[in-house]
Amino acid sequence: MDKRGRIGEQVMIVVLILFMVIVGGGIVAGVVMFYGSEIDARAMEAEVLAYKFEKCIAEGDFVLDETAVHEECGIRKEFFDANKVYFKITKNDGKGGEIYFGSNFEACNFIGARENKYYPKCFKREFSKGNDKFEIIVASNHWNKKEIVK
Amino acid sequence: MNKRAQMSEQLVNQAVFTIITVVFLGGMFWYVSAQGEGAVVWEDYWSKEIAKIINLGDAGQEVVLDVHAISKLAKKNGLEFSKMFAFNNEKREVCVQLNLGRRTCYAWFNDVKVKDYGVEYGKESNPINKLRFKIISGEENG
Repeated sequence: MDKRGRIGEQVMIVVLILFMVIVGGGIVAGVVMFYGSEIDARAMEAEVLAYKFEKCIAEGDFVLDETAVHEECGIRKEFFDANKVYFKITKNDGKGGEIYFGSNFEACNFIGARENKYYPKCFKREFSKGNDKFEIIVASNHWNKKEIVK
Repeated sequence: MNKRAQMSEQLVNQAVFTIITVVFLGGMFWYVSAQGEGAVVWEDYWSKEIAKIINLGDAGQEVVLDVHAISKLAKKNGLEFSKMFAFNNEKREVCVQLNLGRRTCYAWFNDVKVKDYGVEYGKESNPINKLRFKIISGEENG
């Protein structure tokens, strides 16, 4: 009977170790998921870009032309191609013209998309310059890039 | 005598369980702390922060940043200060490396370039390591 009692105690050690493996595995998984995920700077970037566009339009004799956006505002055209960033600038609700790079800006209004990291983060800005009303929408899906260095 | 033997046996069992639990908790705490100081997290943060500064900057500005904390981390990982930051003016991207073998890069959209960048060692009067760089026009040769 003593021997059976001792065997029971030894089984408890196995249960304890199994319990620790489960708890430890959960903690490690949670930490990896938290620290492994990238800092989401897309909304901030969209806001900064919208601010740059607004400043450019407000301060200069801005012509609503794609070339002017890049040359006058000092924003590199290649950046948009390479980094999944899109923008749309509308003058007087489109009656004064519009320029855009990208499409499907309606996705910026989807409430369900806000928590989905695969949808871009958007920033919308409206302002007036004289009698003209401008609307700027910037959508950023720009993530960082990891490189191996020798 | 049986009761004394049983009590001492239970004490030993309890001690073993306690030691295993303390070692486990200590190990978990160390692991979580180590991840919090992780190079990958800081590479990501600093590459985006520097890109934001460049995006908001103008040609002619000089930027000085306190990088003392991450320079200590890089040194701990065996990395030279000269390799911590790299600015690629062709791709317009900044790369931050705090560990051997890999780095994290992030692009900026402002049509400017960066030149004369480097990490300066802190001096006796101000023992803080700093990153210094100059923003120049996108048309200049950096």
